[in-house]
Amino acid sequence: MNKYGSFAGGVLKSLFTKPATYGYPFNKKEYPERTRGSIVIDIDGCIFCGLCEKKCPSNAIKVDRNSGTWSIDRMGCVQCENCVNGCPKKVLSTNVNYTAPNTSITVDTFKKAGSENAESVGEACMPKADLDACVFCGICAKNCPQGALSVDRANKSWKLDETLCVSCGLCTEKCPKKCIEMGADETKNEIALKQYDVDDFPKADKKSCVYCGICALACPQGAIELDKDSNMWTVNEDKCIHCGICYYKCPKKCIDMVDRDTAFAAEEENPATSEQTNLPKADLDKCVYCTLCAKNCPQGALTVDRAEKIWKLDADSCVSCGLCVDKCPKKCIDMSASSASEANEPEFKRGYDIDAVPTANLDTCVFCGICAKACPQDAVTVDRENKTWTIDEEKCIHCAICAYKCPKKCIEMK
Amino acid sequence: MAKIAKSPWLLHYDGSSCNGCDIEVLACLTPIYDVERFGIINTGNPKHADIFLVTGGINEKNKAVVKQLYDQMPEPKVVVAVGICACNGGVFKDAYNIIGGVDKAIPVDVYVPGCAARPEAIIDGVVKALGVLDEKQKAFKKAKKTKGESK
Amino acid sequence: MSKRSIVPFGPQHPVLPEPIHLDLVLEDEKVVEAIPSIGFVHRGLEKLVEKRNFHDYMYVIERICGICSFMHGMGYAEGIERIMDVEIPDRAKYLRTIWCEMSRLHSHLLWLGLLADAFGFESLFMHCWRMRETILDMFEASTGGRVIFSVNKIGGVLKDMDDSMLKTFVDMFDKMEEEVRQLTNVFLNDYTVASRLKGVGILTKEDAILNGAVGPMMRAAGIESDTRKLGYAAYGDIDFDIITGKDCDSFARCEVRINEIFQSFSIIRQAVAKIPAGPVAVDVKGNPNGEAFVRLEQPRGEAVFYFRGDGTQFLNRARVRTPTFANIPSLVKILEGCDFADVPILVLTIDPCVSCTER
Repeated sequence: MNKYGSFAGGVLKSLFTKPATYGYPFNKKEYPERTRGSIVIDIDGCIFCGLCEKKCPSNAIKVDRNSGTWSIDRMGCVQCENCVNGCPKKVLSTNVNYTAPNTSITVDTFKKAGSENAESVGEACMPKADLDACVFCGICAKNCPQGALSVDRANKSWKLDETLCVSCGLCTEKCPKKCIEMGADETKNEIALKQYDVDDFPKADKKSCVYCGICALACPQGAIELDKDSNMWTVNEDKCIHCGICYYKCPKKCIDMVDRDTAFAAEEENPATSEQTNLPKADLDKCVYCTLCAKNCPQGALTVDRAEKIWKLDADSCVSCGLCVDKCPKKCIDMSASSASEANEPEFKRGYDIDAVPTANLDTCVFCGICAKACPQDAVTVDRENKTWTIDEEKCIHCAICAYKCPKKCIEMK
Repeated sequence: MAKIAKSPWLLHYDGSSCNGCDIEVLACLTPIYDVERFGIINTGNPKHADIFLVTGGINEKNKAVVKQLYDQMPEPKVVVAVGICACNGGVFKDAYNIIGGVDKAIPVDVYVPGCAARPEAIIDGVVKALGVLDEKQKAFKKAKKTKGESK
Repeated sequence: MSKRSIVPFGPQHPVLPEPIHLDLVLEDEKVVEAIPSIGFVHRGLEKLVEKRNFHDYMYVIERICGICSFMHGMGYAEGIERIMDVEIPDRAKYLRTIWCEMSRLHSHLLWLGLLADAFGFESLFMHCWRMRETILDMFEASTGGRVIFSVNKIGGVLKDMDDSMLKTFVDMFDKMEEEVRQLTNVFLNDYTVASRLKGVGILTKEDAILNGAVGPMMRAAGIESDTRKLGYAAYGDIDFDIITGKDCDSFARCEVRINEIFQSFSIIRQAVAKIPAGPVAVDVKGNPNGEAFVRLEQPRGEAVFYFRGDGTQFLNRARVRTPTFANIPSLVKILEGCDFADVPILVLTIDPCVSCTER
């Protein structure tokens, strides 16, 4: 080939062929259907589970459950489709058109109509299976996007890992026997709703008790007394009204409702307990600000902000129960800090009259029925279709568990 | 359109980008998209340039470089942040070495989203920047006139 | 007595789109020494492994570099699949091979264009990049993105290419091969190109081994070694030779890369002919616990990946040794004794990808 004119052929050809330019912006190109341009959402189907927010590699999506809004930072979206693939309700999809450039950062927010009356009731309701109807087929576990369920057919067990559950409700939908319900904020595991006798007393297992004092705080009658230093935990027989609230509230699940003789049997020598005066401290190099410790703190003593990278402990609210240490997936919290402001003696707060009866505010009530299910005496009746809420005052034992459990906080003791 | 906006010259700099957006910026010059029809030339000299195209985020080492390039450009000038790494740090927002987007070092006029930003989006961004450049030039001329009168 | 001066080949320069800083010590237009200074693109993304779930980390690791993006993702997927003992379906292996070779094609065409621009032959630069656009259109039709594909996942690939799409691609490649052959004839035979590239930047075989060169740099010096022969993905079933060059100068490197382009065409045709039917991904449950080494042949050379997990959803360590990092000592060696005007060509001849180097 001629070494001086090797490109001559190419030059001559370009003189006589059509230009390769397709002339944007006067002509627009048609994009193939798989092009990843931007993300769109069908907001009416969204359940605000927050999975897309967790999956986004550049933290461009923000989901606010309380106000029913879903927002995306268009200048932060990498169009990776991780959210689209991970959405349990399949409301996210990709559009072929790219986001237009702008002189400032564009954030698009979508709000679901009528989200104040949401069917997704309140924060963090966990699914609960009716173990009588359950056939342990495992379909719920297979469809769980977080892998939070484990179902064992041979051993007839149904277990939920609370730390992974995002309350998306997929298990409820997929169950062929329709035996799962959303609305319990504790796992019942193999012990469905604990049935105990009306005359049972609480008894704490001293080996697991951490003397956090949550049971004493919660007791509406002030019947529980405990002392860290002398390893003492007692319940006053006369004051106890057998409401079981201490059993529900114990973070270590170390209280059991037993009959009178077992409850007041002679104590063995006191087992040693762990040092309780320390406060939790997070190793901020390992912390990923997943907010699991804050979500599980029974006292709400932790503030964790993922965007601003904040981890703060309110030393006054902390009761050194150690739950945050247990729940941290990175194992980066330990009880090593001791605060100058040592915890004050937790004050006993009842906050309502001993004869007070619960009343629901019918404007905010959504008739979800959680209070009725929680009532140990079955004194509350809720009718969703006719929108009625009634309390049987004779059955009511004034334990206030319904007020505590209401996700809309619309029950008052009057 | 004012004269300067009829043929703006570009200066392109990559500050911690993965090269995706840089290739798309260079692809704008190639025959399929061809911005040279509009008189836009990719120059290497900051003193010749009107539009500063920055890709990638800002880290400690290139903060000084970006500022220096920006200071060398003559008025009026516009800055276009191409790609989401330049807008707010992108997927590397919480990496230890990235401070953030380009607006942490110099003032940005137009943000072009995308990972990597399409050549069509870059052309759209440059056209928007030309509008801003027009405004700035009018303001610049006005300021010069009033300064001349007050002398 | 000649005087020495230091010229900074700074982070911003018109020839390379990437920031790398070289302090060139000159003695009357001849470069005596070159002192590199890198770190402008360092983002610290290896540490992000502690903050992102190992499934989501795929989207971070494929943004190490925009040119070799697919292979970084593939290296990560292979590594985690080895740790977790996941066997991916055969169709996924072939699809990965096809996309790998398409990546290599578009990377080499990009490099040819930049090289032509560096020695002043702008029309060739425009032609090379115009042809490259056809490949990018094919990528967009099959994966959804032009530059960052996001199509790898642990356990396979996310998108499938059906037979009609594959047939269309092979037809387009046949047409393209004709045009590319005419173009590369210019590179190989033209007088001006030869005068700029022949005899410039010689790296002998001993020096290549001493300095640890990888990829076409090493193969142009006569060393026969290609990591694809290890047989990852579907390369074990495909026939291909290792391409080497005889002279160790820039012209030989250009020749090696041009021959690799035609070899990629042939590999893609073989893969499309042999691809089996079946699923393209398997479900992966659980967390990685263990460590793995993966070696891949990226367009620029051999890349080594190391991953370690401890059973949680966050990996302990992810380490990537990219080919450009291994080629920098060779760059410093070939810059010694060259003319000042040849510096851009020599920097380009190692095919630098600075964002890969600094992650």
